[in-house]
Amino acid sequence: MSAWLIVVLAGAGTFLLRVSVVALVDHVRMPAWLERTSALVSFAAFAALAASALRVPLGGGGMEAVRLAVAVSVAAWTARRRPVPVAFLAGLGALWAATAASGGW
Amino acid sequence: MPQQASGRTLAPMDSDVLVRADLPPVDRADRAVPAAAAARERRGSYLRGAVAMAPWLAGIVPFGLVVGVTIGGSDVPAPAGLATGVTIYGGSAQLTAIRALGEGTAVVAAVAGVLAVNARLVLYSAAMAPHWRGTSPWFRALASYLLVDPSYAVGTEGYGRQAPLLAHRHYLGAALTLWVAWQAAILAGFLAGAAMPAGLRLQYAVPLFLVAQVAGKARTRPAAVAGAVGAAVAVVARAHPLGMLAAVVAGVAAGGALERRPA
Repeated sequence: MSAWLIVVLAGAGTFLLRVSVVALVDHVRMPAWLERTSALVSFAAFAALAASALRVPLGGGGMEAVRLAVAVSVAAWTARRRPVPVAFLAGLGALWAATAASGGW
Repeated sequence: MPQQASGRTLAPMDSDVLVRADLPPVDRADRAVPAAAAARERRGSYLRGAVAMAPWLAGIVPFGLVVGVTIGGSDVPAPAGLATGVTIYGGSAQLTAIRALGEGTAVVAAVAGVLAVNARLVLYSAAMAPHWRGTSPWFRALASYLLVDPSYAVGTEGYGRQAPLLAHRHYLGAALTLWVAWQAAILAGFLAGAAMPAGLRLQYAVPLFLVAQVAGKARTRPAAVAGAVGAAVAVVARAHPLGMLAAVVAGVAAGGALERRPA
C-alpha cells in the first residue's frame, strides 16, 4: 500500500517539477538572462549526470577505473570528430574490449 | 510500434490542442506550398522528431533494461516497480524510488529523495517555457509530462531550426518515441531478468552517451565551461540530495558569466 503511495506521490511531485515554469510563463516575465543561458542547461546537466554516475567506479581505482577511463576517453575523443552515436558505440566497444583484455568477463 | 502509438495518441491533437495554440498558424514553408503538402509537412515533423530521437535510444534502451532488471531483482511488488516508469519517468529517480521501496523507507523520505534527483527538471521546464508560451493547457500538460533529458535535448534543437508549430510536433514525435521505448525497455529488462549478461556493463551506457553528447556538441567556450563546472560540482557536492541541481546551476552560471563578457 505504501509502495503505491510512494509511486504515485513521487510521480505527482515530479510532474509538478516538470510543469512548474511552463505553467507560470504566461503570468510572469522570464528574465532575459534566464532565456539567454537556457542553451547551457543541457551541457551542465548532462556533464553533471555523467560525472556522478562515473564517480564511484572511476574513484575506486584498480582495473575497473582504468577500463572506464579508457572508455570515457575513446567516447570523448571520437565525439569531437564523428557523430555522437558513433562515439557512444566506440566508447562502449572500448569498454568491452578493455574488459575482455583485462580478463574482467 | 512507436509510430503506431504516436499516431493513435496524436490524432485528436491535430484538431484540438495544437491548432488552438496561440501561435503563427503557418510558416514560410507552408505559405509556399499547397495545403496537402503542408499537411504532409506537419506529419513529417512528428516523424523527423522520432528519427532525431533514435541516436538517444542507443544509450537509453540499455539503461531501461538495467532499470527493469533492478525491479525484477528487488523485493518491490512488480506492478508498483514497473509503474515508476509511467509516474516518475526518469531512470535515476526510478532507481532511487526502487531502492527506497526495497528498503522500506518512510513515504516522506522516499518521495523527497526522488524529487531531489529530479530537481533539475525545473531547469528544463524554465528552458522550454518560452517556446511553449501561449500554447493550450493540454499541450503544455502532455509536453511537460514527457520532459526529461533526451526529449529536452532533441526538442531544443528542433526549436532552433523551424517554426513553433512544426517544432511542437517535432518535440512530441521525439518525446512520445522515447516514452514508448523507455517503457518497452524496462519491461524487457524485467522479463529477461538474470538472463541479461552482467558483462555487458549496460549501467555505463547512459554516462558514456552523455560524455559523447557533451564532448561532441559543446563547441563554444561557454558550453565547455558549463559542462566542466557542472561535472566538477556534481562530484564535489555528491553527498547532498540537491547536489545535482547545484551542479547544473553552477555550470550554467559559469558558462553564462563567460558569455556576457565581450570576446
